[in-house]
Amino acid sequence: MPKFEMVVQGDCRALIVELEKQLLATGIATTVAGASAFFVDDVVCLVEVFNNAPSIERSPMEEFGDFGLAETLADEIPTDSALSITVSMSQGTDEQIYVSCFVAGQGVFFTKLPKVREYVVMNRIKAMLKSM
Amino acid sequence: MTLKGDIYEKARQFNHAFIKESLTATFVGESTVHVDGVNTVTHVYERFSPEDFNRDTVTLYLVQGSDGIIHASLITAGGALDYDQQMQSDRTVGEDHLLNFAIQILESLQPETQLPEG
Repeated sequence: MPKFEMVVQGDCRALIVELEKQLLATGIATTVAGASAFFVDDVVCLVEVFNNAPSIERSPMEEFGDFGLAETLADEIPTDSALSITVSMSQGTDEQIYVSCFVAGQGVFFTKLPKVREYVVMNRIKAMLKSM
Repeated sequence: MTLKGDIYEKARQFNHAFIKESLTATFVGESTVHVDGVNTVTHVYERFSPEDFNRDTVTLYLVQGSDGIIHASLITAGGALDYDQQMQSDRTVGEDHLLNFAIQILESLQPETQLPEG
């Protein structure tokens, strides 16, 4: 399942703004599909969904090597379908930000292939969040 | 929109209805977070759209605090109609259909209005 969860420090609203900025600047996301935010019982809860264009460049093998995929797949990374990226964050009084991220949508024409691109995008976002 | 009831039960009911009522829907995953008494549930689904030949996704986001009210959001995202082109800025046909489909299911989870006695 192309999903990860992590805990980071900082300000929730500043983090989502920075993440959006970096996702759009790097081309990992091409448009913002939508966002929602709620402030309930002093907890900030927000979700933002991004689109990732079908034209993303093919990725170097090392980016998805962790998943044990055959090198022969390197030339078969599907590039024809768009992905969506869902990021949700919750932050309460302990200042910790609980982040969840899903990447989904690939597979219109390549349903029999592993969802390589989803994992590539997911790993990039994970690295981006760790660096913030 | 807002709902009342147990947030996890509502999420489960949505999941059941969404998968049951669509032949081409897939449940991508769920994330639940509990912070300072506030519960959030995030569901992501994808559905193949014969209308525009795309695989669109919908995110269901539920938040419930101490007043018991469930705040619900639905956000759709989708691909380009022609894969030789760049991502379209406009919403796809499949996205609109998917959103309406999800809204109908969410609305069906609302408890029926109680008629006043007498």
